[in-house]
Amino acid sequence: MILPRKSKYYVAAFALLGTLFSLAPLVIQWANYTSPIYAFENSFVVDKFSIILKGLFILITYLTFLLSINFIESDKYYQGEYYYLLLSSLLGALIVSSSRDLLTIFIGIELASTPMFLLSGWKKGDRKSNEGAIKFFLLGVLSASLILYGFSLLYGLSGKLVFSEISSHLLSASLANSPVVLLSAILVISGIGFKISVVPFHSWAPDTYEGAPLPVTAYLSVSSKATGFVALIILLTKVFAGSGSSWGIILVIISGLTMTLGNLVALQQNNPVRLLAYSSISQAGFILAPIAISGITGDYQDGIFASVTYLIIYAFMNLGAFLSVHLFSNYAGSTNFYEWGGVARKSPLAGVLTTVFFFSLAGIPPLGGWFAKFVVFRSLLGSANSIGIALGVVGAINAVIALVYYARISKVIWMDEPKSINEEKIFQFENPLKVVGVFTVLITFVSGIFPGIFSYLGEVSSIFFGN
Amino acid sequence: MEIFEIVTYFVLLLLVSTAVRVVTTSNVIHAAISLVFTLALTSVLFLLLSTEFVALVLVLVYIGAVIVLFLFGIMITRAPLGKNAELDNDKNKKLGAAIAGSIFFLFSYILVNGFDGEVIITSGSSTELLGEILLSRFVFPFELVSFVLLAALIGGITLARKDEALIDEDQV
Amino acid sequence: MFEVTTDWYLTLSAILFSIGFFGMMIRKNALIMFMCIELMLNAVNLTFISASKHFGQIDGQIAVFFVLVVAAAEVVVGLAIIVSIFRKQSSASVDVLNVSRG
Repeated sequence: MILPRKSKYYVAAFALLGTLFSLAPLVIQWANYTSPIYAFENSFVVDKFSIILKGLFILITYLTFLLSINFIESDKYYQGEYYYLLLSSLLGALIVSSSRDLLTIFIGIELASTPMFLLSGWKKGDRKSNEGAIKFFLLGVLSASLILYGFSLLYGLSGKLVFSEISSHLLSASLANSPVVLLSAILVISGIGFKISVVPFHSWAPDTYEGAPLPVTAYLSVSSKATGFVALIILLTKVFAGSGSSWGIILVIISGLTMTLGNLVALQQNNPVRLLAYSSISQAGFILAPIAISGITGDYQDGIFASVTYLIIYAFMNLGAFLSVHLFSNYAGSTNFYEWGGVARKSPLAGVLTTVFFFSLAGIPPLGGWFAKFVVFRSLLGSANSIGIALGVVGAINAVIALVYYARISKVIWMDEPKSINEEKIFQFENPLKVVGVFTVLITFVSGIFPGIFSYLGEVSSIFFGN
Repeated sequence: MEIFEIVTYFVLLLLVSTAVRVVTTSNVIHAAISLVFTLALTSVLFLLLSTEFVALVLVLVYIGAVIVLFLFGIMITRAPLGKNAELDNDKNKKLGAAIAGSIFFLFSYILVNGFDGEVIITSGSSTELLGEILLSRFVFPFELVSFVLLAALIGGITLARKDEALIDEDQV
Repeated sequence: MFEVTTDWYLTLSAILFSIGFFGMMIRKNALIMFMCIELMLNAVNLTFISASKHFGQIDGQIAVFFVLVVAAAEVVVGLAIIVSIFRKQSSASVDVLNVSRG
């Protein structure tokens, strides 16, 4: 607000540099890692799980900033505040991945989501943006109150706030399967279910995604979702670990429903952003599946490994998919992708990127999405449990259905005849966006061709997961 | 201590009736005022439980700030004062009542069975200890919550202010 | 006579929570829906305080303190969004729980 409009560019540059530099402490922590470090009476921890996920969150935010630079400038949104709010949300996500205490994790979740309520309404004059924001806000606050009620029951049962103390109290008093703990688990799952937009709690997602500025949507569908998953993983394995067989069943049902419903609705969409919204709902089902099964089998390490690996690969390919939607809808000036006939011929580079990202989301080898799906299916089928195998079959059917709508976009942009030829219009592909495109496409390819790197990250995060 | 119990039960009953009024009244202002009473009675309950610091914070923050903001919101959006039938979502009413009723019975059944009915401790003040713990063991969330407030402040101002500001800035 | 036990407080909080939830389901006005959420948060506070007294320890009161602060921040956010909606369409009525389009 203080700087004149022209020098607003420095705000973006400063935010970008700051985000990049914040990776340095993570690298140092990783290099000097010996054992989990606890602080504030065990309510905060630095373990490899948190270091890896913090790195992921910081990279996602960095790429979102790159996506935002031109977008925010072109439409005269408020800039300085925009970057501040995104950075606050990043801070919340970083806190969540390290917290081991009911209060810290709650404040982390709120810090991650409060700025997003505001950012989703950032297009002030736009009615869809406003409606999406108020929907997101009311359901977000409702979810916070559900989570809190679950937390208050846990506190009422044990009188403790730190996870390790709660779970040891539940074990020693053999309360792990008491109705109160189950009720609290259900409340926590449904509260976080809003954040990760799984099926009974997904109704806000498509409207909010459609209304919000596109970089914000990309951030919402990747980082906010990842924050929710991290919180869910921490809470389920550190607090409710003893009652896995009960919440496992609930999560299996949610996961199966999420995959199926998200896919079936995505088939009917013609707006690319709504299509990606439903596709990211169905992807959430895939991320949830290994955790659900690990609850039933009790092999949490395997579940965390598969989910974290999927989450990391999904983050980059989904960001890339939003990048390509941004490019083409900007060029074609239409939010109906059936009217994008032949736009890829205008800019083959963007066309190739789009095809790569959408095929990767569909899980076609040798792209990253294929490896992510492979890890999930291995975890489901390897559980040697009839429920796991059934969920695997549901997932396989859904992977095939998903192929239809992911391939449809690629077909339209390459093969369909252009509806309106506008030769003068230049295809805009700014440099920051090119960086995002190249970076995400690189990760998508590397994770598919050399999957070892990413499965290593997932494995390390599941093994070095402090109490 | 019979008077103490009678007062407590009286407050409990009043609390429930004002809470019901918040969700059933067809007048926005009445809903806000009923919410004031609900919160004030909650604060009385907290006083009866001798958690005086929290009770006072509840009065200051909720009644002093939050409800005033709500009333501002009602005034700014010029919500129709007086009765307004459009506030309710009629088709959801029966479903809502059924779900809320079953939630209530489920919760209270589970809760009453889960916690042995011990007499609650109603003595002992704790404000000093509260301050000490807040700034030692809980200092980290305490710092974090300031970021939540700052984000809400900055974003709130940006979102609610008039857009002419942008044009002015261009001319500078 | 009837002594005040922890159960009473917990039942009261369950009542408040379900009243708030009921309100969330039947109301259309964003402001009133938000008031219903405040009722639910109040139920949370009541549970924390009564549990804190039940165990004779103080952490629960700290938790209530944080819930209050976060709730205050959310009110600011909510009001800002409602004001920015009002600029556009002069009504704060939303059908939040219904999916509008496919």
